[in-house]
Amino acid sequence: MSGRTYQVGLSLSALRGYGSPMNSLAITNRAYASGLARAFGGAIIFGLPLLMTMEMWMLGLSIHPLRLALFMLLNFVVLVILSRFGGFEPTSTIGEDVLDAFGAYAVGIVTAALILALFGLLGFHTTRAEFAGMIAVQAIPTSFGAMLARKQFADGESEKEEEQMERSAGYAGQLFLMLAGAMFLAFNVAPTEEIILIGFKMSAWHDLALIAASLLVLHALVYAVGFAGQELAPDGHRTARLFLGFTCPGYAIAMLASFYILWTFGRVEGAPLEAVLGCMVVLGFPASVGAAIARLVV
Amino acid sequence: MPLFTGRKKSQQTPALEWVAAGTGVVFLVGLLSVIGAEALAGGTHEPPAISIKVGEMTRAGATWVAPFEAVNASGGTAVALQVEGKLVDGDVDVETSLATIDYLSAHGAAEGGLIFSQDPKGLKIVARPLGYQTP
Repeated sequence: MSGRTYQVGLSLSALRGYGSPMNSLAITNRAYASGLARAFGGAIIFGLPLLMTMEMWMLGLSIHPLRLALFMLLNFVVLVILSRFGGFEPTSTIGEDVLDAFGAYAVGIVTAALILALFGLLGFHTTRAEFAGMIAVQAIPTSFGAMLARKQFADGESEKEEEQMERSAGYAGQLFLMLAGAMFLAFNVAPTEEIILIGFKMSAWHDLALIAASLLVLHALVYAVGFAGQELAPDGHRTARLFLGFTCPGYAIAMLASFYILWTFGRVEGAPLEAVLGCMVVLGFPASVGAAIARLVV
Repeated sequence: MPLFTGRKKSQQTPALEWVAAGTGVVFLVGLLSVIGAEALAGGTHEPPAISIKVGEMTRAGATWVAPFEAVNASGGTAVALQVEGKLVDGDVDVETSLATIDYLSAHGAAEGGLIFSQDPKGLKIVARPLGYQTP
């Protein structure tokens, strides 16, 4: 066993008879260390595609510093809330979530710095500003991956985990998870030029079709297809209500996330409205997919 | 529906958690302060001030290569920097070569090489930056 112990009483785990020794609540260093190890794994998996993307390296310096700082702070808030819903170790107070968010950021920064150094992209020759910018930009996806690691790698249920699942079941929680998933997938494809190129290749009819496809994917992935973690629709809801209550806000969230990321990367300034909207629709498709799977994956 | 016991005993946070969180705080504050300093300096709009230092010409196969280092002394980043090198004999241009540096960061340096087909014996090499794009 991992050395964790849980309080007796009326916990569901006790009723299920998991057999863990139950006395006082204590999380040992060892348990936290294994959580950290999972976090490193998650950071590498989520961060590697972007760590190997050329535009991200250049973005580290060319991105407007204030927007980068804002993105980092927003990412921190997202990490805290993600920790609330099931981060790399079970938590019960907001203080613990803040601590875990800092821990995830540490894991993310170290992972990004190590891999960039291994690839020879960071060295003694890089200037201080370039160093900070490159790591800061890459730390966003890696810290995100670090925080999500537990759901993918963890072993078994516990009382705190059930509490965390409870927290995420509310409407606001669902919307937040959609936002996190949308931001993550959009961030993964946004740095490269292909978004702009695809926007140019698509005509207005293509744009309308892609919007419809995004809505369809968002709606279908959660409610129609039998993915693991798929939840039953709340009683009394019919497809139309589901569409209005979840799918439409989900697409709006995906659009907002796309616009924010495009703005952060400086793709909005000086560009004509049709180009920006085109990019938003293109970016909105992976954002919608991210929003849909976030509720299943996190 | 899971049942809860009400208020649980507060558990001790393991030392490792504080270490990890503390490391995170230190790194974050460090990164944000460097980025903040960049933001305040606001120097990213000034044009790059590029100087080219040419090294010893060496023979490479059938060609002659002059390695050079481009140094950016100002706060502006240069993308697609074109460097021109000329072999001159007094006032006459004997041969011209071009090189492109993809990315030269502010206060940074990048290296490259200029390739010539003529024997540079007795000739002087002059290199200068031609133009760049702002990222």
